Amino acid sequence: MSRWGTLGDLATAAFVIAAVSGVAVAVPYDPADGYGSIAAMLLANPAAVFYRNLHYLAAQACLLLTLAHVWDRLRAPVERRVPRGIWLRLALTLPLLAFIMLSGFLLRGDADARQALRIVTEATTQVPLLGPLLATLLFGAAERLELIYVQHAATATIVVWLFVIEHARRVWPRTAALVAVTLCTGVLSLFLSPGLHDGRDPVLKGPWYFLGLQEILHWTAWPLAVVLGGVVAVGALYAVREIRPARAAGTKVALLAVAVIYAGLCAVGAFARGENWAFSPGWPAGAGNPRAGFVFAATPEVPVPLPVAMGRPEGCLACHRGVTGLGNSHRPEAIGCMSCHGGDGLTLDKARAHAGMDVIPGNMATAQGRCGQSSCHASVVARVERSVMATMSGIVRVDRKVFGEEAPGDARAPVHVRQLGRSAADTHLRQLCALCHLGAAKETLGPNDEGTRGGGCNACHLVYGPAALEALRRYQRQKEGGTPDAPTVHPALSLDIGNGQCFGCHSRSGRIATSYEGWHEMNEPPAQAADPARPLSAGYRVVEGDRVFERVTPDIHHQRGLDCIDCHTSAEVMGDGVAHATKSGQLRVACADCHAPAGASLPTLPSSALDPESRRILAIRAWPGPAASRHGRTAKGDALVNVVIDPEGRPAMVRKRTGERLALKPTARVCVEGRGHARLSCGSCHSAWAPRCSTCHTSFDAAGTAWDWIDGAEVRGEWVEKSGPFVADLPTLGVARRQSPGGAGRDMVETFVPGMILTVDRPAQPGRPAGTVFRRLYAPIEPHTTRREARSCESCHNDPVAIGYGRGDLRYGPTPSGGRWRFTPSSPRLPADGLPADAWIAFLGARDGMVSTRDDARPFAVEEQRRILRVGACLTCHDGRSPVMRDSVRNFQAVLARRTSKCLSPAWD
Amino acid sequence: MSFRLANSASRRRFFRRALAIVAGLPLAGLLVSLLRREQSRRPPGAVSIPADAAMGLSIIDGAIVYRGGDGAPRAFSGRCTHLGCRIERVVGDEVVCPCHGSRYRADGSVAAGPATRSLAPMRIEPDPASGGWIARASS
Repeated sequence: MSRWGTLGDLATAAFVIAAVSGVAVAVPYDPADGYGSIAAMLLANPAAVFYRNLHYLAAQACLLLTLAHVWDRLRAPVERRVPRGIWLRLALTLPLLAFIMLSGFLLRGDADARQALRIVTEATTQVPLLGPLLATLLFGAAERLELIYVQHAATATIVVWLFVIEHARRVWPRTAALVAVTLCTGVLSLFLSPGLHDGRDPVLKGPWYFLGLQEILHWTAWPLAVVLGGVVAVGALYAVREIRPARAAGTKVALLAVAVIYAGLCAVGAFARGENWAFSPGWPAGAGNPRAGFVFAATPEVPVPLPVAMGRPEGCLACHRGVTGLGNSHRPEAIGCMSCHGGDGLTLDKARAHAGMDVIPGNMATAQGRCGQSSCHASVVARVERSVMATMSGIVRVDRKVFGEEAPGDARAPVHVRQLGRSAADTHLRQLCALCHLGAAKETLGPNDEGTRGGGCNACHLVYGPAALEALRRYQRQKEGGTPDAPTVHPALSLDIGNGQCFGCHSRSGRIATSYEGWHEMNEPPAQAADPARPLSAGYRVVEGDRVFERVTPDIHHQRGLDCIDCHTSAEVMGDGVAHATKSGQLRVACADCHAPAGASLPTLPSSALDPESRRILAIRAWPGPAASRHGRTAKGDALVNVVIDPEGRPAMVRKRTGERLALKPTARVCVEGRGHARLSCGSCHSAWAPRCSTCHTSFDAAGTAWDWIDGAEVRGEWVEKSGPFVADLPTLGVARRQSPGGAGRDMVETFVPGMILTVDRPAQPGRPAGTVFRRLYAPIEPHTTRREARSCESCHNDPVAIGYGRGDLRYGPTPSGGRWRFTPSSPRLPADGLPADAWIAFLGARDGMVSTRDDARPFAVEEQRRILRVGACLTCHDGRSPVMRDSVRNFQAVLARRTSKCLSPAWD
Repeated sequence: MSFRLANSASRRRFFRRALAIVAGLPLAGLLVSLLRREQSRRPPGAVSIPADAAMGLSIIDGAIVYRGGDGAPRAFSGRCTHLGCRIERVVGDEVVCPCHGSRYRADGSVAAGPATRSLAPMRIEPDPASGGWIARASS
C-alpha cells in the first residue's frame, strides 16, 4: 500500500468525488429535458460545466481504478480472505458500477444517449422471464429520463456505496487519496468536457467503455449472447473464490484475456469506426466525444433567453445576430448556423465554436451530412450523388474506351470519377478532365464565376446578391487589416439559378453555355486580345483563362430571355435517382415537350396531379398571376411546372426566375409533313452552328509534372493536349438510337461534331507496351444554337460536312453513264486511316467498329448517303423552296415518277 | 450447549427468512403489477404522412416511408429489429441503422445484418383532413 492507499482507496475517492459533484450538477440538470439543460449549462453556466466535467472525469477514474484494483487483488491473490457474502456483493459491484456509468451516459439525453437507451432497454427486455419487467424497473417504459435519474443518483449509487463501505470497513476514503484524485480530476475538469451529440454527426457511438460491446453487437444477430457473456464474466469473477486455486488462476488469466481483447475492441470502435461502420482510422472528433477548452474562457455576454434553432440551444446565434440574405427556408432563426456549418454551437468561446467548422458547406464530400440531413434534402442529395454531373460517368467511359481500357461488359455500367485508378486513361482524366464535376470542392468564398467548377450543391444554388458580395468584400478587407466583423449578409441558397452558374463547366468541351449565348471560342484570337490597353470590341469576349470568344449567332431561346433552368428540370439536372452510364440516359426533356407538333396539343397533367417536389417548387417560386390548372408533361412523364396551359388551352412557358410568360408555339407544318424527314430531330434542322475542333494530339511527357484533380496534388508525368483549329460551322449529321419510354427505341438523325479525331501517345504500362492510339470518333451534340429558321436543304443534301465527308468540294455532274457525285477533300489525309483529317467517313464509304463516342451512334450508311445525295442531285437544279422540292418531302417517289428527261439521276457504280 | 446454540441460531435464521418471504412475496407481486401497468401505458405509434411527402425513401417522424412511381406510400416502423434503435438515415436505396449498421431495403427487408428480421410494416389509412395518410403500428 502506497501513501495514497490502495487502488481501492483511490477508486473510492473517485466514487465519492463523483457522487458529491453530482449533487452540484443536479441543480441545473433537468431530467425532463436532459439535452436542453446540459446545452444551457455549456452555453451559460461555466461553474456548472466545471462540476459536470468533475462528475464525468471522477466517474471515469472510478471505473478504471476499480478495474485496476480488482486485477491487483486477484493477482495477490487475496479473494479467499474475503467472506463469501462480501465477495458476492463485490462481484455484483462491477455490473452495478457499469449501470451507474451507463445511466449517467443516458442522462445526457443527446443523440447517442437516446439510441443507447433504446438498445439497453431492448437488450434487457430480451432476457428470458424477467427481462421486460427488469427493463421497465431500470429504464421506465416511455424513453423518459426521470426514472433513470433516480436509479442513477439514488438507488445504484447508495447500493454501491454500501457495498464499498462493507468491503473497505470505512465510510470516507483516505484523505491523501481524496486529495490526489480531487487534484487530478479538478485540474482536468478545467479543460476537458464530455461531449453532447446533437444528432448532426451520423456516427453514433456509445460511451467509450461500451464501444467494444457495440462492435460485438455489430457482428451478432443474437444480442442475448452478449448479455449472457456479461453474466458469465461476473459469475467467473465470483467463482475464483470458490474453485480450486489452480483453476482459479486459469480463470483469472482467461478474465484478463477477455478484458484485453475487449479493450482492443473499444479502441477499434473509438479510433477506426466512421460513418455507416466504414473503416475510418483517426482521432475521434464527433460532437459526442470529449472536447478540450478552458471552461472559464472569456465569452460574450450570455443572451437571455438562450437562442434556439431547430428546437435546440445554439450559441452561434448569440454572436451572429441579424444575418440576412438566406431567404425564408434557410433563415438562421429557423435552422441556425450549425445545421449547415457545423462547428460547436454549445460554447460561446469563439475558438472552440469555430473549431471544425465547415466554412463552405454543400460540397459533395459533406453534402449528405449538411444539405442532405434527414430533415432537409436527404432524397435530393442522394439523387445528385448519382447524377452524371457528379459521376462524370460518360466522360470516364469514353476516355477509357478511347484508350482501349474499357473492359468487356463495362459498356453499360455507370462509373464514378472518384473511383479513377492509375491507368493511362485514368491519369489522363485526373489531369485534364476531373475538375469539372460536382465533387470538385469549392474552397474559396465568393460567387461562382467563369472559372468556378464543382462545389456540390453550391455549384447551382449558392447565389451572391450585391449586398452579400459587398459584405464579403468588406469582411475580406477587414481581415487583411486585423480583426474582421463577421458578415451580416449571407449569400442566398436559392432556386434563382442564372446561366452563370452553369458557365464554369459548360463553357468547355461541347461549349453549350457559350454557344447558347452566341459566343464561339477562337483558337487564333486577335493579336490585341492579350493587351489590356487595347480593349476588344463588343464582338469579342475574354473569359477566365484568357480564352477569347467571338460573337456569332445566339440561340433563339437565349434571345427570348430563357435561362438554362427554364428548359432543364430538376429531375434532369440533379438526376432521377438512377446512376446512368452516359449523359444521354439522364436527359428527360425534349423540344417536343414544349413545341407540340403542328395540329396536335402538348401532353399535360392537372395541377392536382403534380408530384410533391413540383408543388414545393411552385410554392417557392410564387409566380405572379393566376395559378395554372394544367401543366406540361414531358414524354418521360415528368411535370413541367413552368409550362402552363391557360383556360383556352394555350400553352405558355413561365420564365422561372422572373415569372414572365412567353407563348409556346407549335412546330411548323413542314416539320410533320410526309415521311421524308420523319427521322430528323428538331436540332438537325434548327441548329445554326456548332463548335468544331477537328484534330488534336495528346501525348504523355514522363518528365513533366501536372496537377491531379482527384488527389489534389502535383504528380510526375504530364498529359499534354494540343488542339487543332476551332471553327463555328453547321454540325454534321449522323444517326443515333433514341430510346422512347417503354419502347425499343428508333434511329434518329442527330447533330454531331468531331468529338475525338486524335492520336494519343500512350505510355508503357504493366503488361502493355507504349504505343500510339488513333481514333476518329464523332460525338453527338445538342449544340444549343437553335434558330427559328431551319438550315437550307442544300446545307444537308449537298454539303460534305453535313454528310460526314469533311470540308471539300462536293460536285455533281453528268457522265456518260449518268450523273456522278465527286468529292475533293480540302483537308489533308491522315496517314493513320487515309481519311481526310476532318472526315467522319469516306465519300460514299462505310465505317464500322468504334466510330462515335457513343455506342448507339453512327455515321450514315452507304445507302443512307445515296438517299441524301439523290435528293441533293435534284437540288443542283431545283431550289429548295420550290414546289417540286416541297412535294419531294411529302412523297419523293411520286416526284421521281414525274421527272422529265432533263432530270439526271445519279449513278453509283 | 453448542449444539443447542447452533440449533437455536438455525431456527432463528429459518424464521427470519420465512418472515422475509412471507412479507416479500406480496411486495414483489405488487411490484410486478406496478411494472406491468407501466408497460401497458405505451401509446400506440401513429405517424402522419403529408400529401407532399418526398418520393422514394424518406423518414417521417421515425417511420420509414417509401413512395414509388404511383405515389402511394408504404410505411414501416423505424425501429431496428436488431436492438430497437431508431433508424434515422437514408443512404441511397436503403435505410441504415446508425447503432450497429443494419441495412434495410425500401420494402422493409433486411439488406445487411446484424438484423435478421424485416422492419415491421405499418397500416396506411387516408387522412381526409390533411389529404395525406396516417400510418399506424400494426397490432
